[in-house]
Amino acid sequence: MIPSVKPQLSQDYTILVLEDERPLLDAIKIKMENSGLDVVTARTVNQGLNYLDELSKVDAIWLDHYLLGKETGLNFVAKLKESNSKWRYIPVFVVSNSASDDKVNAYIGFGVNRFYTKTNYRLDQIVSEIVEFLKNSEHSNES
Amino acid sequence: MNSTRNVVFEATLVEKKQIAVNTIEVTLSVGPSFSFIAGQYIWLEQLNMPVADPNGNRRAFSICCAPTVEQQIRIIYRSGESGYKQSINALNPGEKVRIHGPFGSSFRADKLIDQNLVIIAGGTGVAPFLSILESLKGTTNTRQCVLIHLNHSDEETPYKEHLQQLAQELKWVTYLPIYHHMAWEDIPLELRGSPDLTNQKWWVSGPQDLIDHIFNLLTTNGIKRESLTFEHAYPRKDHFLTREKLEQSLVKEGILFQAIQSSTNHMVITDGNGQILFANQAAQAITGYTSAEMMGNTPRLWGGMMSPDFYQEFWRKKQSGQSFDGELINRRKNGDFYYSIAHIAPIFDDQRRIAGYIGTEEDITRLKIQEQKIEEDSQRLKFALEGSRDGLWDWKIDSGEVYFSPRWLEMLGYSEGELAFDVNEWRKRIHPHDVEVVEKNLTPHLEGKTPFYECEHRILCKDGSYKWILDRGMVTNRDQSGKALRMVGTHADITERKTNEEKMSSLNERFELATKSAKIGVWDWNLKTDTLEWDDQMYTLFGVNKKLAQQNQVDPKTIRQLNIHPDDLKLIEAERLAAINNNGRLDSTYRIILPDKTIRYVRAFGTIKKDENGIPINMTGVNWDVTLEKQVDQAKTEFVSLASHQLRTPLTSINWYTEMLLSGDAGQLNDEQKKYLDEVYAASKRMVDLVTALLNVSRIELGTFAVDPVQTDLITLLRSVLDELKLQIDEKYLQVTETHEEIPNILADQKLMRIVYQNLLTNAVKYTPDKGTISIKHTLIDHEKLGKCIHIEVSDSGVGIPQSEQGRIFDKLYRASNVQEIDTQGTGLGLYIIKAIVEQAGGQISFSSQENQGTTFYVDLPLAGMIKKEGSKPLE
Repeated sequence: MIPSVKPQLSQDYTILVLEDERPLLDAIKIKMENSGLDVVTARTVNQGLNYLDELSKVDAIWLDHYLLGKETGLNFVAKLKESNSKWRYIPVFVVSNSASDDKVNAYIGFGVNRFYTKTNYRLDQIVSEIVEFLKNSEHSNES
Repeated sequence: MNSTRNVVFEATLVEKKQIAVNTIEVTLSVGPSFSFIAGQYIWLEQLNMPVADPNGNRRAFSICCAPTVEQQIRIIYRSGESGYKQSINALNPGEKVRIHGPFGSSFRADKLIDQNLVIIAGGTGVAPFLSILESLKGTTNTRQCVLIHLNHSDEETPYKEHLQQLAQELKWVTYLPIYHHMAWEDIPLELRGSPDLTNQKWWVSGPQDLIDHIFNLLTTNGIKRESLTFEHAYPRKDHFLTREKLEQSLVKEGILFQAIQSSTNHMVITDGNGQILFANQAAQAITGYTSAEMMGNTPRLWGGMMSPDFYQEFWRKKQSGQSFDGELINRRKNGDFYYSIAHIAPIFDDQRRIAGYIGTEEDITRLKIQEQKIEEDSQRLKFALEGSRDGLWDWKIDSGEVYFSPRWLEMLGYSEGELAFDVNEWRKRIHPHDVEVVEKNLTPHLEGKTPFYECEHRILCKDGSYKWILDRGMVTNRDQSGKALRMVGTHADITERKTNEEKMSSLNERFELATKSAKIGVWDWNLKTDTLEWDDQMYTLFGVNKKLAQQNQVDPKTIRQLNIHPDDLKLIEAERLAAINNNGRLDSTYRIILPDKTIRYVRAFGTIKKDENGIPINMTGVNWDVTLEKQVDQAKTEFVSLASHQLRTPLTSINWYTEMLLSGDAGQLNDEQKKYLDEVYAASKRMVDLVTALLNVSRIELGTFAVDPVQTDLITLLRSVLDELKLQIDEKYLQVTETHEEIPNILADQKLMRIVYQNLLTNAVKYTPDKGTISIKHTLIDHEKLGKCIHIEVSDSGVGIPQSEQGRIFDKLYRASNVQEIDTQGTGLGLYIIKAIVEQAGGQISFSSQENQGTTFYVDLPLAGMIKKEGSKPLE
């Protein structure tokens, strides 16, 4: 029996999900919304960046490595983490099936919060960890 | 002719007495003008001989007393039947005699106190030694003297008690009377034992037969001739030459005498007994003895260096009236040896009786030295030639005559006598293609334009083959116009060297062809001068125009520095230094930036050459373009990566949607729906594991997996894996025990070691029934092949591996038949992967197993640890 995740959240959190695979994107969206999170999805780097511009707030980013188009998740993170970027403090969770050391090191070097290999993790586990992170961030902001 | 002294004295018989059996002592009164030195002898001439003696009226007697103020001398003699001895027996006190001398410088008191001395005196031959010892009474001496006195019997021994008393007084003298034929053992041991003591001398006095016996005895027992001094006396004969006769004769032949005196050859005239009567100035100059010292002595004064056989032959010829010619070794007064050619001829009187001898000698010492030097030089040359195996030739240019040494001939396969000693024998054998080069080198030298001749050419051998020869020579004689008359030289067989050179040249050609066609650049780095040399291909590899670079004086080192990718420069330099200082080999890949800004990957391989002290002096290597290989590798890696992503993405979809269904995200499921979805989920997980394992296998087989060793505590790593399996272990009530020795941390890639532990432990957990046991051990061992190792054992009490299948357990995708029934989910790749990991670490993996009893896996990892390996991806 697989347990369901139903976190108690004190505020609305908006998660930007960048994922190229539609079935996976849909699964992630369903799971997150079931967990009480607002989800915005994008399939390309540009799309993701545009949403960042448009949305009033994004509380976390779920980022795949391979996206549609030429640019990858690394390009997105690089732009996100530019020194003058207003988005550089948004927590980033990289969830990908490609996990070479150099890629992982590159993402960590950019300051992403966590790197997940998709096949090694249950979806609800990743979602619950993101939620847990947000709750902890909420408490630390309060304190 | 000048005489330096008056040697004839009037003397009066004072007394005669018998002092031993057959031994008479005679005391003579001599005038004040007579003086002598202890050890000398006189000729006693009887003025009236009542009994005629064919040997004349003179005899030599040693004076047996020391010089005193009393102006008396004593002599002793053995009684005999000769007319002389009967006449002297008949002499009465007061009767006059004549004495000649004194003579003799062989035995002298000052010589006695200078050295250890053995005196061997026969009978009355003791007389000079008695005189010497008497003269030394009251003196001390640091040296020792042994006086061996040979007589037929005690009764016949003259002065025995006197000599014994003298010996007691002179504590450094030992008196040793012997009454038998003397043997070597009669000589005291301490003297026999060290015959070569430089300070030990031997004096011998007595009759000729005694002297001959003693001479042979001593020399055959190792006593050196120059340590021996002899004196003997022979009876004079009337017809012998005398000094007066000789002087008269020489004065008469005035011009002849002057010629004799001015000759550079040594000339000595003796009487029939060999007593010297005359010695020319050359004889005195050559021997170093004065005329006075020679008079009365025999030529043994400077001679006697030859062997007993020589003297036997010498005396035989001399006494038979023949001349003697021979080479002698003599000794000058100062001790120097010299060589001479001697001619000794008898002088006959008018009745063909030997009256005397005339000996001439030519000092050939300088000639001998030159001969020896020539011989030495000749030997040296011979050894040098033999050692070098070179042939010698000696060409008389005008006549065309050439001497070919045996080695010269042998080199071409000929024996002595097979070729004529003619220069054409050489000329006609020169290889036709080499004739020109020979002339080109030879002619200028013959004309004096070059200091020597040297030429490499081929020469025809007897068997029809050609040999390569290094022909060298020099003109040794020229006439006044400078025309070459004689030339000497050598032939050295350089066929092997030439063959090797040709082989080398051929190898070089092939190497150049290979490197050119494979576009391999060759470089050479002189570590002493820190200079780098490139071949043409290296310039091409770096995209640099060689001519331009040389014109602009840009050396390869600079080009290298400027063109290597800045991110790789530090690493390649570190690897180069590591090769120089440590391992002696360079194997590195780096990027260079070409002039058009494209990147080229270059593989560098080099080896170090060291000098005799082990100091690196040179690094030589090759570089080649591996850009394509890199691209292919990258493509493969990208393919695997892409395949991994493409395979995993749909699996992720299956997993997550199944999870969501099972967690009720799409509504409640009935039991059957859940059961089916559980199977789907399990199959999907298995697919994920299989894809991961296949990807690892492909990375292993491509060699593209990375190894990143760090200091690793294996026990801690093991325990973290055990923690992951805790749930399964607890579910099956398995008992896990650990036994670990203290082991050091080891350089290991933690991810890879984790895979090893995960596989071994997962298998142990999976294939051990409930309530079974798993034990894990770590120890330190000395492996026969691997040296010091960490030894890991993972044992279980599980199902074991069937004997017939044990050989295949490490094969890809192979699963033993007995475990397939238990667990359908295994990939069959786990053991293959961990075997590859362990072997990459330089280790070994093995196992022992019995069906239904359990399996133990053994892993041995060298303490040296894993070596870092660049790769595109780690294993998962």
